[in-house]
Amino acid sequence: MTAANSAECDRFRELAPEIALGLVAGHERAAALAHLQDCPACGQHTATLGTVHDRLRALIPPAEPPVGFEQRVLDRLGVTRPRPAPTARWIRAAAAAAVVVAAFGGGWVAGSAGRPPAVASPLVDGAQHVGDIIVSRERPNFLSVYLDVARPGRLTCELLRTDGSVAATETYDATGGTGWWGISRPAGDVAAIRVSDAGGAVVATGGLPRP
Amino acid sequence: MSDDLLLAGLTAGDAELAVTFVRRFQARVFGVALTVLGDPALAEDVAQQAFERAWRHAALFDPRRGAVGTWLTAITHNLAVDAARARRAIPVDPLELQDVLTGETPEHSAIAAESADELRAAIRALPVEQGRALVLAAFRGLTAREVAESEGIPLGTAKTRIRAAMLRLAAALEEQEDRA
Repeated sequence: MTAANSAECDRFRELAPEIALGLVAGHERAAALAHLQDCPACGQHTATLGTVHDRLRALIPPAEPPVGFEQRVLDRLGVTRPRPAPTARWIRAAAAAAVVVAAFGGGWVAGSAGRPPAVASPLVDGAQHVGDIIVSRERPNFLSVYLDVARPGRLTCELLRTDGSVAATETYDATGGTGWWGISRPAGDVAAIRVSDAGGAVVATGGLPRP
Repeated sequence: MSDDLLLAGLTAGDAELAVTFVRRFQARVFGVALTVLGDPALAEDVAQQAFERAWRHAALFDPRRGAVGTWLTAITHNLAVDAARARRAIPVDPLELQDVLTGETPEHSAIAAESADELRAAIRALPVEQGRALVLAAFRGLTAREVAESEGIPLGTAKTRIRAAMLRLAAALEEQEDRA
């Protein structure tokens, strides 16, 4: 606050708590926001009060919603649990891409280079397509594995070298629907993935996608 | 998966991520709506709207400005306040609401519980009339003029009470951060 604008700051600060609580509208709000653009000190003051509001909301105890709430929300969003299908692969790739962008700060726009942002290969159980392996071009040593889970339970995902030996292992506790997990690819000639259920039965296999 | 990454994935329209997102936040979202509205059916409608809005606007979330849960509960709170105004919902008694806020309730994490205890103590330490004005403004979304009408006090007094309460809580939080 400077001497030149102290009177204006005083007026603003009278109103700042209500601004922070979102209770001021119209020209009063417009005038306040205009002042904030020119006054970092009042901006900081308002931000502090806004934090108070955030912290107050965080005191509200959680409450379990009525039975069926989750499904009703998903219905409202038009979301249905996906079954593996050729078109699902690129939805998953986009999801993986979004995660990679978020994790590494972006600078990468899906498809902007004229080629897919990620590559994918199918996971199969016999002749049935049961999932996908997705690798972002920006993060080639991290595999995103999506699998349509037939039976909930612990899954073991193994990365196999070309000679069939196991290069890395990851476990995943599947709850049903489409399971997702990530696994880092170690250096070397890793060529395929094998997923087994808790009883040791192989439920999916697939070759790693080629960049 | 972290909240931020989950939300980032949500922007791609992945159904499994949507399920995980809803499961993770539904109790907090419904809790905010129910606390403001006091009506389970109305609260569910608002909670559903909140998830829909988050789904539509997930790409606009800026992690530098706060946590996903804070953003989502702010959306929910705004919708609940709008619903309370539009449907003239039966107001939650300010003292009852204050009890909910300052009661011993399970928190989201040990860290949150620790810092929340100090904020609860600061609320309890407020003069009764300031606590009522704060609750009406911060949770029911009443403007200072509406607080004045609700409490039967002059507008200037309502403004003073809201401001004094907010500044006391801000000071308490600053003290807490300084100690940390």
